[in-house]
Amino acid sequence: MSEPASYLDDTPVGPTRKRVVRFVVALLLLQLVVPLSYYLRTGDPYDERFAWRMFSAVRLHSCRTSATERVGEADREIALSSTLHQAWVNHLARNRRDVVLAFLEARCEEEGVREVSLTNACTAPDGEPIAPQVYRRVCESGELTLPDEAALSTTTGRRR
Amino acid sequence: MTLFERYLFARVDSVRPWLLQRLFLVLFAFDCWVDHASHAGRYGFGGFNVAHFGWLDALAPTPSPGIYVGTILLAGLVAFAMAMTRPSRIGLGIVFALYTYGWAMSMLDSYQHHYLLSFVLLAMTFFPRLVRDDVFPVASERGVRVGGALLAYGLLELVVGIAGGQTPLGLFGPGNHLPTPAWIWLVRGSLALLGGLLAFLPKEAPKEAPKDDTKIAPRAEPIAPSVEAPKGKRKKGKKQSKLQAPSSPSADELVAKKAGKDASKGSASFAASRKLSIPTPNTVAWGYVLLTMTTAIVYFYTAITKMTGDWREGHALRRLGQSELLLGLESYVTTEGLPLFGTMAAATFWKLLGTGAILVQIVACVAYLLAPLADAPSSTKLRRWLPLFALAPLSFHLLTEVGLVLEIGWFSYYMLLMAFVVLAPARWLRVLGEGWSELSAKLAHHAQRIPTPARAGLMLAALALAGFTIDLPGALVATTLAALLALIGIAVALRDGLPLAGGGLAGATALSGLLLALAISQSEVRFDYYRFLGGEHRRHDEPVEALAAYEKANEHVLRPHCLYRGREVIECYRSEERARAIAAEHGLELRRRDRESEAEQMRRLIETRGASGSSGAGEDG
Repeated sequence: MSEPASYLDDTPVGPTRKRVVRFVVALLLLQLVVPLSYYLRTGDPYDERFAWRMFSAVRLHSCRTSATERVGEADREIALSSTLHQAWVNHLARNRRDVVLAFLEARCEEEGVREVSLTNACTAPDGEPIAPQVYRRVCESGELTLPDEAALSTTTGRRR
Repeated sequence: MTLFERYLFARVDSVRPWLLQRLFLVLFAFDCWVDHASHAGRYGFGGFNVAHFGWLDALAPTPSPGIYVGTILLAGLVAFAMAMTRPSRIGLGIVFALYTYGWAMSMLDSYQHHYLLSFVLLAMTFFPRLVRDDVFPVASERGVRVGGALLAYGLLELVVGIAGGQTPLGLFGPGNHLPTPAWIWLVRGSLALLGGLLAFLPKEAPKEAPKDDTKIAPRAEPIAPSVEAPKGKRKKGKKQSKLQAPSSPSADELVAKKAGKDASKGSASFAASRKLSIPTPNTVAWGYVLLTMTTAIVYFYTAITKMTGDWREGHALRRLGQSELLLGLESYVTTEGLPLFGTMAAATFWKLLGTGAILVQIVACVAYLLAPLADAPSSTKLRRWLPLFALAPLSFHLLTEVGLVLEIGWFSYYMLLMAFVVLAPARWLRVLGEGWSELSAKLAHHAQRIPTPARAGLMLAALALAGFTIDLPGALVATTLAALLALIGIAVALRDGLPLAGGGLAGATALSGLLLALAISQSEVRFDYYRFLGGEHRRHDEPVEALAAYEKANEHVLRPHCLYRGREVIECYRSEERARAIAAEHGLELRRRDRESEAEQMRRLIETRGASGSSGAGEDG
């Protein structure tokens, strides 16, 4: 542990100074690019985690969640509240895609389950209903069907 | 040197990074201890988890309540110890890593401000490693210090009181969610006013230096050779500050000037002498500048987010602003009207608020970008106007806390603190900071008499007390790891010939352990943790586990007598008589909040199932 001559005088000099500048620039670029990617990318419009979109219109969608699975030839309802912790059910209702996909995958591991689907029937903050968000996984092939994000473009502010 | 480098390495008044780091870390520690742990029961429940990053799912173990609580409590313990000593980069790096892992381990924690806190902690890792003596090389007069302490406390009472938080004075009232009696507001205001008068009102300069100024203040070694300072004004053994602003005189020059002035003009006004006498060391603090730029970026993007039609038209705020304050304001402007504006439609009112929120974010963004330049000697105009910019973030976050119905933890307090320390005039911060830290400096000074091994023993005792009494999973591991980390830190300090630094770390960690135990035992963390857990086991038809959790919750309930309005809990009290009296006064219903009835239901369910021979899912556990 080397102590500086003065704790007030700890200005980086020489190569250290260059490293500091590079580090700060990289960190700032990261902070600018990560939220920007939300607006530019296509993909999950509900994934606002690193976009500084607190209290956005998407976050205020209100959804009713239901899930079914096909065992043999019959479809059966999944009682979400007694299957997962309520906090995860809330995430499903917020269309957190990673959570939904993990849930579908976990259900597919149950014996005899051939297909799992989860549906969120949502309304926008102004009360207008949005097209149901349906996620489906065929267990054997792993084939996924994801909802069409076009219906959400007006409330996310994202580029189409 | 490029323009960016000039900006990044701009000199700022040392009081800003020092005060921000200290207050932020203390706030952060208590946030970790009393606000984060209560929901830990959901981690790993049913073996299901999704981390924020896929690679964490692959590498790290599936989170459990123990892992989450342990990580968060340890982050708080180390943060508090760092706030009370000369912080080390390794210590602050550990806080950053623990906290970041704390939220990243599971999407259960998806608060965006926790992600922001990680950036703040990372930036603080690179703050100058200052302690009080670096920032205040010469002590102010006693009156100023006392005034500063009173003003700091009065402001804390006022701001937290307005925001609806709990304060020591607030304990004399009916609680946070019922109207605070006028006398409490009067005392709060008087304390702030008295403090302000003592600290800022011009007065006669003292003829001789206060005795306090000659005391040896706690400091880190090794002691640099100090320059001869005027008798009684310079702290003994004070390290020489090299980094004064190029155009400003050094601390010693200022001290010498003050001494000469005092001798020749004994009656110079305090305000005038203060301007000359108190050196204000500045420093290059690129970590601090990184933090202000980070904050500016956040405000920039939050402004962008709010530019959607939903916000501009005020729909979003209308939904979030269903509080007594904003609904009352809406009613007022639609019926009584505002001066100049007259009455307006409710839709216009919400639209104005929504648009105003966007404007506030933009102003805050600009203010944070300009802030690092304000302490330069040539920035007179910026220095004068920047505090006005502070009104934007301060009013926004205060209104968020008071007027919007949100669940954002302590976020508003972090942002209020940041806005105040970054944007307020440095002179105010110096007065408040010196007064605020006076007590801890005196305590540290007295604690120096205790030898380091004894302090290390006290530290182990305090951490053991916390670990064994907290009764939350992971707590004992957290305190054990804190002890290990502190012992390593002490050993390194002793090896490097810094016994005072080692002793300081031991003392700070001991205090951290004691405050952790106190914070947990005097808050509802454990009650909340176990009642949430019980509720979830109950939903999953696991009566045995639910009963165990409910029984624990009942052991830890502190304020079982609660006042309800419908299903909404308004306030809870330890004493049933007090609760009954306040319920009668405010027309509220008094009910018990503990989980006795739920526990009884679970007992009956277990008995019924036992008698009928059926096996519920819970009986397997």
